[in-house]
Amino acid sequence: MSHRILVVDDDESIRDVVRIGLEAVTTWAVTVAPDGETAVALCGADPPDVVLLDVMMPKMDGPATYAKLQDDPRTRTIPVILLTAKVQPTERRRYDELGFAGTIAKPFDPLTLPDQIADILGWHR
Amino acid sequence: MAPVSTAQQHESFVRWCWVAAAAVLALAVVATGPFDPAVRHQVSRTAVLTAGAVAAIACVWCVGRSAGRRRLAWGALALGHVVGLCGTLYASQAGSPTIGDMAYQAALLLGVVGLWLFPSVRLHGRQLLRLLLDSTVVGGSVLYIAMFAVTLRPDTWAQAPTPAWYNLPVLDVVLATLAVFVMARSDKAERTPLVLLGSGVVLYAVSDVMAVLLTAAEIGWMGGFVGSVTTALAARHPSVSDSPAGTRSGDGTPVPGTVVSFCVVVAAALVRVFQSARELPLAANVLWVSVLVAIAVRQVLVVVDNESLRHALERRVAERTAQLRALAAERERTLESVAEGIYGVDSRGRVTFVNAAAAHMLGVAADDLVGRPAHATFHAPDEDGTPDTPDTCYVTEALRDGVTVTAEEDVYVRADGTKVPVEVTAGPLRDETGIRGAVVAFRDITERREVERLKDEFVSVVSHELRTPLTSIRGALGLLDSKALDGAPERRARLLEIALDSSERLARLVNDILDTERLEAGRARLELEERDLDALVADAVEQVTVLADQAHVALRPVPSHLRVSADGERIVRALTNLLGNAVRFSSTGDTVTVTAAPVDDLVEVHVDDQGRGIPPDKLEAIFRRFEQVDASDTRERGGSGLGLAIARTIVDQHGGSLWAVSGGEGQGSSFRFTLRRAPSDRADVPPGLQPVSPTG
Repeated sequence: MSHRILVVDDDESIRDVVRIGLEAVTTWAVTVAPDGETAVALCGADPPDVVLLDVMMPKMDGPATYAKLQDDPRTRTIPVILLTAKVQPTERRRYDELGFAGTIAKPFDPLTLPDQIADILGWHR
Repeated sequence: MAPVSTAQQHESFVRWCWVAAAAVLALAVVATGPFDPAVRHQVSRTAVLTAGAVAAIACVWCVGRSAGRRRLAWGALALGHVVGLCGTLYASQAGSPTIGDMAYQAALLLGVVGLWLFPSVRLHGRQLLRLLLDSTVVGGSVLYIAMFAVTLRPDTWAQAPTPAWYNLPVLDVVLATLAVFVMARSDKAERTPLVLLGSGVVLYAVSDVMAVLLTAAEIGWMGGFVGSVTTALAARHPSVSDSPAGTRSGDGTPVPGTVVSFCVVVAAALVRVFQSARELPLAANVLWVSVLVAIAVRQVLVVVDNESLRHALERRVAERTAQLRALAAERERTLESVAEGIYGVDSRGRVTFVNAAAAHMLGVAADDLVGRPAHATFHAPDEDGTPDTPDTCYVTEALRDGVTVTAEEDVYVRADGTKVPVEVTAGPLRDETGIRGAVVAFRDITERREVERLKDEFVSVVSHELRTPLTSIRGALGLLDSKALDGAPERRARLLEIALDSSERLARLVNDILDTERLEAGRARLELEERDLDALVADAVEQVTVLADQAHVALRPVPSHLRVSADGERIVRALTNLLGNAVRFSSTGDTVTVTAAPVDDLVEVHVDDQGRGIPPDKLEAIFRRFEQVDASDTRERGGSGLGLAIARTIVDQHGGSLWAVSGGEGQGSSFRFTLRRAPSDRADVPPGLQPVSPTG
């Protein structure tokens, strides 16, 4: 089954690695955004099935972007998975409290990344 | 022979007491019963001889069981009984009462010596003088009573008694007096046998006086019998063989002695009252006056003693009070000088004292806290306003269970309502009656918490900065290693590029982290030399030329012809970081200029760019580690986030200052730092003056 996924990260290298990896091992349609504002705009225009969201980004960080998505009825139901290098226990607890669908720690294996996403969302691959 | 236990000795002594009581009762029955006087006389004499023999044997037995002065004492008593026996036998066989009386006098003298030899509590000075006065009072009183007995005799109404009349009574009195004071000065452990001895002697003395002066022979026999019996009992007492050989120092037992003394004096006074109508012999009046003088002197002595004692006690009280005041002042100084807050509570949990540090930390006067409930006063309520539970409070546990807690973290509340995190050590205050309070020491850990927070934050940031390039490397290599991209050479090339760039970024980051740590820990020693500033700038410019060319940014060092005191390698590193930073934040076609000018004995170096500028609120923050004007600058501009922090550390170590100047966003930036001019470059500074190296 083909899903549409939006990858949001200010680091171009990571955006490219995720995109190339997902496109190589799945049939998912991958879109990328370099910052939170772009991501909110893309989601509003064409809501994806899931958003992979970096935490530390300029201007609007991951939690702020998520809050924006929650404010908009069109994007409120989109599951958001954090893709982050900030994985201290206190940070993890904070993410859980904010209501993210899940957290994937950097560095990750791009070959198994689709399985991690599917497990979090209950998708069958 | 198996040793005899103390319990067995006591049982034996009790049996002896019963036997003695039965014998005394039997003799009393015979002496007072309706028997022929000759029979009574014979029975009494036989009883006295038998009792004397038994007492003599018992005393000899004690001689073998004791040592030192006790052995001599028991020996004298044994000899006295033997002499007395011999005198009685001789008088009865030869019919010579004079010889018998001489033997009795000798026996009594030996008894006096024996009693005197018994070890007693050692007395000195006024105590001894008072005892002698007591002896005088008691002895004189007893003798006065004896003289009264003499005057009862019918023949004394007609003739004055001669001194010879008093031989035996006087000896008896001396013996009785001595017995009383041996009892008074005896050690507690052997008081029973000595009281027995003394009582026997007193009884004997009284009966002897009565027998001699009232010509009642049976009374004398009875007294002699009882005296010998009590001597034998005293010799059988268990403490005789247990007593130590020496004498002891101490106060003795003044109360019983005083009571006995005054009882005897009262008895003598009553005699005096009853005899006031009769003309008494001169000796009796002299004796009575002597007793009164002894009483008066004794009382004066007691008053002097009491006054001396009172003064000594007052002096000691004053000394102890001064010591306690000094101790209290010392304790207060100690409490006030420690940096930790300390307070005490009583058994009800109310504050009893607060030191200055505690009062300062809580923003309240120490006196205002005394008497208030500690728990409600110090503990801050929970976030939701719920008061802290007293049951689980360490002060409650210390008071209730005697539990000591250390390094427990808590939150106290200041007088203005603000909270202060503290680390607490609390424990019970005990005395001989149990737990009477608790003492709590606490320290403000706000700064420590802040350091921990900064450390956690730094670890988090470093972790993030390391993981980001690592993620790209790991992902790119993982994909390249798989067969997923076999038919996509362009994507493979892009992944290789990502892996290489990220590896360089990671290496740069690791190097900068290590340099930062090394510089801040002070392990990298400065090697200060006179350096040509233009040469240092040229070296730095050369290192960033490639980066500048890629960014199409021009580098323009302006020669200053100045010399500085610097560690060349470090200053080149600082300049390289500043130039690299300026290039990264410049736009294509911009120019980065390096200039320097002398300011007094310093050189001020400027690295100016035409880049995007720095907001005023970031001018200082950008020198902190991993701090950027924009969070994405590290990735977008290629820096590690540590370059400016490293540059400032290097300049600081040279004793200079590094700061940023900018008109705001879009206005360009100027990074400026100072170094010491080299001595040879300064006309107004002595050549020997060198800059101080902070790393020594």
